[in-house]
Amino acid sequence: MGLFILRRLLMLIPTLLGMSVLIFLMLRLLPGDIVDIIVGADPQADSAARQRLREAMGLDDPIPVQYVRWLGDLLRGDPGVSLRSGKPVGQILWQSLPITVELAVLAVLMATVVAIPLGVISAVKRDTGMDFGARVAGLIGLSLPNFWIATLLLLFTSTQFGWVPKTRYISLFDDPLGNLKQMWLPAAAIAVQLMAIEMRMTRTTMLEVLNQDYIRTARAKGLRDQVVVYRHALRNALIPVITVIGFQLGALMGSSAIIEVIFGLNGVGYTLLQAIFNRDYPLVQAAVLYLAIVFVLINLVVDVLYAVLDPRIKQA
Amino acid sequence: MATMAQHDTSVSLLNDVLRGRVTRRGLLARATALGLGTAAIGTLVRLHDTAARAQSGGTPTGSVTWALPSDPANLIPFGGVSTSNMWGKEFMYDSLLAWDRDLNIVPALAESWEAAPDATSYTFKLRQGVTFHNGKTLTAADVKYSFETALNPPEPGIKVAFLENVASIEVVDDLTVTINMSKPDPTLPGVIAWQRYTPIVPEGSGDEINWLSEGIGTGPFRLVEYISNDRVVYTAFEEYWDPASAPCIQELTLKILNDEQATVAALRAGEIDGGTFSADVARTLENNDEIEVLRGLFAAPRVIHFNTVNDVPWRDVRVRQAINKVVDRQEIIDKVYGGEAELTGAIPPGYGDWPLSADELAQLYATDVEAAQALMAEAGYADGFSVTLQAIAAPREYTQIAEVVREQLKQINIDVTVEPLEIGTFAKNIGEGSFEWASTGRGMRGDPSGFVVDFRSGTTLHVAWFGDGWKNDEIDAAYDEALATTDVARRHELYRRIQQIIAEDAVNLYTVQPYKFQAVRRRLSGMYVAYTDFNPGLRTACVTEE
Repeated sequence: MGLFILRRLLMLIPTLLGMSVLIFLMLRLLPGDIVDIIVGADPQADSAARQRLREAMGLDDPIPVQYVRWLGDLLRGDPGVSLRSGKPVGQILWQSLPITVELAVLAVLMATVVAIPLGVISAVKRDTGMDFGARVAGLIGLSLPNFWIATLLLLFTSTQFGWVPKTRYISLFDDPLGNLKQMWLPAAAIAVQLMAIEMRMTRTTMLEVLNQDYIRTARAKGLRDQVVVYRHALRNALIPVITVIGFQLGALMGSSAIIEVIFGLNGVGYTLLQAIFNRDYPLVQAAVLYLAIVFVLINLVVDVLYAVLDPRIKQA
Repeated sequence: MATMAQHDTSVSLLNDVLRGRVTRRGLLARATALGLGTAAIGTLVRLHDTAARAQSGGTPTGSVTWALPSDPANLIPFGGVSTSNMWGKEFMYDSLLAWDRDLNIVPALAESWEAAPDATSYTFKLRQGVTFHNGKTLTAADVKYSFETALNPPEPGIKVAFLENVASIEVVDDLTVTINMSKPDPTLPGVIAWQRYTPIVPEGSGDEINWLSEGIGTGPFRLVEYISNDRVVYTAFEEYWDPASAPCIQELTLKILNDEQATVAALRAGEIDGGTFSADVARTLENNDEIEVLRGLFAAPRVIHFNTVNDVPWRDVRVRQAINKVVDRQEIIDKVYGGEAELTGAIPPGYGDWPLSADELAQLYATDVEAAQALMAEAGYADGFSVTLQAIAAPREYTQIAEVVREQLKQINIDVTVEPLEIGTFAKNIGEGSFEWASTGRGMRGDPSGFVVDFRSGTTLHVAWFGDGWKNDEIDAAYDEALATTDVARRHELYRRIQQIIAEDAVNLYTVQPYKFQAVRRRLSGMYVAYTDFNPGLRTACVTEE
């Protein structure tokens, strides 16, 4: 197991190198650079002034030179400073990290707690009214984009209760209750769709597993229905579901940007989005690399979990 | 609109209340005469009491959260700063001069100033006993340092064209400073009063603090913290130099909220106290008892640029005039802005007494499809031509204007392809002049010359946008003369003429100037829509606890 993890961690290196080249090039393919943004769409500055600024920011060097310089700094532990705010990139990401992580974890938690039992019930009571209801609800949840749900939720709570979540982020460690009061709504907006996906996934795999021979054997042994479902079937059905959950967690690190924008939370996604608009190269590069690392690590955790759930994978 | 006229008078009443110029009984009488509702009168009375408290040596009270639609990105005081940068930092800085609400230049850190008769130098007498946030007292050396830094800003600052004629800054004595110009330049007082590019900071402070995220000024609020993409927090500066406009709010938070619907929800819930909204959204708030909707003009003329660098059909003045005769601005006002916009020439309405009047513009922009078709035929383009019109994609209005124009131009067989572009790409194209037509908006200027500089041949943008395709000797002569004289009446005449030529020649297609809407919770009073597009009202606004 240790070797497996180590091998996966080593594979991170070429992955990240490839990622870094890609993001570096793609960013520079975007038309316009930070100097154009600073000067704005209503320009009065002449081209000499623009050129001087580009030189001061090191943007006039050939791209390979810029890349090697950036990579060298990064390896020495310095991801650079934001071209717009002048703050160290590490500090900016560190500030926004807890918000995004909490939002993602909370949303996935909310989704999972509801979706897995619902999926199991739906599968066990297949083709009953309850199953039908759950499936329709799932289909609706799947079709609603989370930003739309978020906006509706906000309009609803603000007009009906005169309440919206605090726009100033309250740290979970300073005030856990205040934090949850603030975060449940954005998390719920994200959770709806995740819930639908997880529910449908659980139901499908459960149905598959329930038709397996070992389930029949378990029933034939005379085990109680509950034991069959929860100990034998669910455990085996969960493997694909966990893949999905892991994928969702990773994706949420960046894709919750829209929800962060709507609720005014300066998470990683929001920061990245703004940085792209600003062509703030160092910040975008660091944020994307960070997302890549998180994604790979979450996949690693998922793989380890597989092995725990299904010993056959470990032996293979 | 009747409600708007009424609003203007309530504003003046409100001002009197805030300045303590009305008794409680007088207030009730005037408010009743205006037909204000009980809720509004109640607010006014509370305000009256607050103002009275403040004037009897009271301290600033309460906290206010104001929504900003975009992150300032940084708080750097010098360089070609963006409007969002200004929104984030305007409360901590003052300049030598300021504008009042009608754009009259009034003294600020300079208690008086004097221009040399030929406008080649300006001498400013500084106010005595002005304190910076760090306790230092303002002297001429600070002014010299500030202007010199403005002329040569640290990165990511970029030298602004508005200050290009400043040659040197001379300290005459401790409280007197002279700014020498390299040539006569009557624009300097306006540029200083704009405050955007000339904040006054303590000498040497650029080496002591990080200007990108910190700041020391003489403004009514002191910076507490700035967190990127999240908020800027200020606290009242109790030693502010001007007791008449001392801060009334204790804590001012600027919260960055990009999503308009979410901002409205936060306003309804009282999570924020105010912000800027589109006309449509503002209308939905008008019936809310707890919220007041403010409306006003600001400098943001919408324009479609024609690029004549290449040999294109619209190099021919008849083609441009035909376009001008077909584009119905009223349709833009109605369809894009729900009626909440005015016609505009090169200098937008509301910019003092410099712009052309609404009647003149209505005449210059009168539509006449038949005459337009005749002009096109005369120019040899009866069958029209194809053109790409680039437009800023967000906010949507620039693209919407482009779409209205596209439909209208079908009448003279011009086939317009609208190409919405993300702002970075658009900014690059417009700066380089790589576009055929472009739908954009212009901003505020410190002096009328700034609105028409693109039309003076030889200037950077003239070269990039017009090239050899268009130039007007009368404009060139008028522009130069207006910049060489301090005779205000003559300058008026010259800028009127320039604007007329621009409209008659249809060099660019100026379309409309939208109104700006802000909505505030009634607990916040004294706020107004400022023409500069900044929020100076918050400097003196007051708040009552609900």
